[in-house]
Amino acid sequence: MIFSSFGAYRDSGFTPKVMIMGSGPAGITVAMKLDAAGIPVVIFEAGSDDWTEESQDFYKGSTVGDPYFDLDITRLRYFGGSSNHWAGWCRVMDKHDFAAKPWVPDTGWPIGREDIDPYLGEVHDILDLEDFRPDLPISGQIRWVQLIKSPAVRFGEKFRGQIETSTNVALVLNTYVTELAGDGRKVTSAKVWSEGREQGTVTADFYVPCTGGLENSRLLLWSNERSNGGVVPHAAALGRYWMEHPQFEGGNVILTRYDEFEVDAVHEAFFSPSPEAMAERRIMNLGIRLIEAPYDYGKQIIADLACVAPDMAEWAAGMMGLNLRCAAKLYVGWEQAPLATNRVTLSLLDRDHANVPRAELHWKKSEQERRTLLEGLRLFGETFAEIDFGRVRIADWILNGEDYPADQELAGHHHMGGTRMGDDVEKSVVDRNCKVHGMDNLYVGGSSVFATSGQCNPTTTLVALAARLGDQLSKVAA
Amino acid sequence: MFEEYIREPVKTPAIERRVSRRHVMQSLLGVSAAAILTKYIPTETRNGLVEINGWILKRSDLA
Repeated sequence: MIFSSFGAYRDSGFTPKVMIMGSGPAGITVAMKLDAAGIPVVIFEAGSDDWTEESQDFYKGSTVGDPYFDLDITRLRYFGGSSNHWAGWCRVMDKHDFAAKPWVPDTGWPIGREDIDPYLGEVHDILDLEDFRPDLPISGQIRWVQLIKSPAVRFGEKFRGQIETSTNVALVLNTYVTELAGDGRKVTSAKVWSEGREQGTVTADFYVPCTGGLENSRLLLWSNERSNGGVVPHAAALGRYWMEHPQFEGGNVILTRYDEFEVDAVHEAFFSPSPEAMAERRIMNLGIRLIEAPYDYGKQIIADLACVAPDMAEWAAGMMGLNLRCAAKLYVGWEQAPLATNRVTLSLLDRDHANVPRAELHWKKSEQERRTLLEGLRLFGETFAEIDFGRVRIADWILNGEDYPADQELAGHHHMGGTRMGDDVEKSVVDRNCKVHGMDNLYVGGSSVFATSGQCNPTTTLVALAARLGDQLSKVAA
Repeated sequence: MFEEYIREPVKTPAIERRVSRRHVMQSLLGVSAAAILTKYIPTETRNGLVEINGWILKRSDLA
């Protein structure tokens, strides 16, 4: 069932057991699992079934610290959520991404990759994925890793038909849950704003915010403030340990043995360090994206190489003469150290049209990340030289410790953390089952539960976690 | 006591040495050249590799 207004939904008399906020990848995945189990569920989607300027306005906010995207640009507020603009790049976080890195504080998850593995079959169906090819080590330190560039499923388009015909799922558009009320043990109701005004409260047995990696923190911070701590009783970590995948051009490479790995249809290949190499260099995970470069770019970097290694440059120039692919740019995206100071807060000055404080994002990259970037590129360059795959040049701004360039990608629009998973209530918000510590009926879906982020795009992992959450909710709500 | 000291400072040989404009220019040029050359001084990394001006190379590449 799909209702275009809260009034129509209210008149239907539908009685949900589970209330989900948000119709992005996490919300729809949880709802589909509950549908399959025959459990009545309502999804409140704040936006409509298409992009509108009015809806996006609710996502405006401010950032403090390093340059970041405008908060109303980096996510989407309508049916399907941010799946409406994602690129479709898929990879599941590795087993070692769930493990703590003893050289970086507050890393690691309370669950392992084996906890989400049983759901990866479903994830392939949901995201229309082919099978992943195995990663191939090219040395003890670097692996050529596989990443699927999928058709980028738009969840609103893909699941509309199933939701329309379902008798268990009610999707209610244009309905904004502005706050949850709680008594410190349970959420007791949700306040709804629709058609330009407050519409009263609604209830269910279980509540699952799936509003995104920024908005989950904002909703729970505001709810907790309004209920005097009754929604997130252990709130020390609420909004904190927020993470992104910073992305910058890190250098270039002349390829000498370019048949040892394949590039994809757009001439890209991806590499990551082994867990042993990360431990040895005391760095976080990173992904190096090698993009074959056009002929003119190759000539420029060979000219630079000629200043330091003339023979090598002469050989490379000869290969260029044969018009072979032999130069590439290197982009690096990396895993941030989880820091309590990187956080979402509520604006003290600015509120949205429903009178909810806007989000304020405090985000700054750390020295650990400088180290990850530089040492990660060195690791890659050393491997390529040792096995004669090529010669790497690290960009000047990284070598010289200059400011991050302001004219590059900045980050991946990957919003993670804020309601992170953990066993320690002082440093996490949800437990290993995605249930808010101390609350009986409040769960969180989406990448806001990530404890650390790995180096890969988050959607595949967050959908697997959502499928797992849906499975668990199906049992407790049955 | 301090006033006395100020009026008659102990003159070291360095203070007495006359610094010519030529000396200053030579020093400045020397620093500048060193800064440029530093970029091209190979830094040993691991397993016989060197890092020079950001390039990670085999020592044999420098032949």
